[in-house]
Amino acid sequence: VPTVVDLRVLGVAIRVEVAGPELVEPVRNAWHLCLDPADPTAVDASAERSTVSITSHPTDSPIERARALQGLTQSVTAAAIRRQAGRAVMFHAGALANPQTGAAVAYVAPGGTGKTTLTRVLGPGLGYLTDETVAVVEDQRILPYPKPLSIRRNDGAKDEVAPGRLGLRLPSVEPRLAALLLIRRDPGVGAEPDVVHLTLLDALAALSPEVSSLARLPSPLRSLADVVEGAGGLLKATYAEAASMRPLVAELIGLPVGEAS
Amino acid sequence: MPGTRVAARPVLDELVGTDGSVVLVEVSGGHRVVRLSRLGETVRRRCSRGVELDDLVEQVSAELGPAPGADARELVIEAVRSLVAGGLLDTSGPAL
Repeated sequence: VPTVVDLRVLGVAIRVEVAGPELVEPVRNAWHLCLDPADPTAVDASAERSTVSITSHPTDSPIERARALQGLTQSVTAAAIRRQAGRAVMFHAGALANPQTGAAVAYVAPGGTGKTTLTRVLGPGLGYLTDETVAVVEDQRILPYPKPLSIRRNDGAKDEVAPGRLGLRLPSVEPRLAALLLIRRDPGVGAEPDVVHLTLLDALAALSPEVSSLARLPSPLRSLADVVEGAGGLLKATYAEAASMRPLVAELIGLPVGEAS
Repeated sequence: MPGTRVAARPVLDELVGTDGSVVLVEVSGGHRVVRLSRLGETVRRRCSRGVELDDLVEQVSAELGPAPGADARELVIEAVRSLVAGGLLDTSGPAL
């Protein structure tokens, strides 16, 4: 009988069925910021819950277990995005918040191009919302997805690392999107990031490849434009090193530069 | 060319601004947002019910005014070609 671990991510309930006792604690630990305290026997909750599963065998090697945990993250992400399609404006983005005010900056980028690194470098001391998917609903509210961070090991496999192990914590108040960045890493950029403001139409075109299920939204382009305008527009930031983004991120979420560390 | 007819393909959504528009189109395997300049937006809108190329040039020139140092007809034809390549317009009759 699999062990059940209930999560709440992107505003939806996801039940993880863990088949393999050796994986139960790794799953709970890695997903510690997403554990759902709700009563799992509640009828209305079960009707609105998606289920994903993870399986391991006692003979699995550490790399095989790491792969299973990585697959779980992908399954949870896909299930949550499916559930919110047409309801939330969802970006491939990381997000950090001012821990006291909840003012958040989302940094949009394709997979494997810097979101997790930026989150690890700038996140400690700020409110961690996600390194993967930012879902925005009415009034610029962000539905957090504080998942484990996938960090590549020397042997090429990836570890799903608990946010707490990296010094990442949830903000103490409900987060709202205050600023939107399109990020690109370029080692040729100088010590400070190169930042440009895009017009609304250019912003929509630039963001669209990184928006999930855009066509499912009501009035898709207007919905996306409302989020962009609510965030004060889109800034395109090109940077060489993640740490060089610290002053910009601090400014955008209303922190004195020295405090975003 | 005289006799060439141009017609806009339907799009899923459109947002028009002062500097052009963006349109949401269906492509194989998903969707794509295409940015149109003010000229591109005007050409596409004027083709919504199909139009002869000569009429299109006239209508676009009247709406946007003269293009200093450029041939309005060539500009419109270039825009039409670009929109056809992007899957936003169809042409029929003599080739451009």
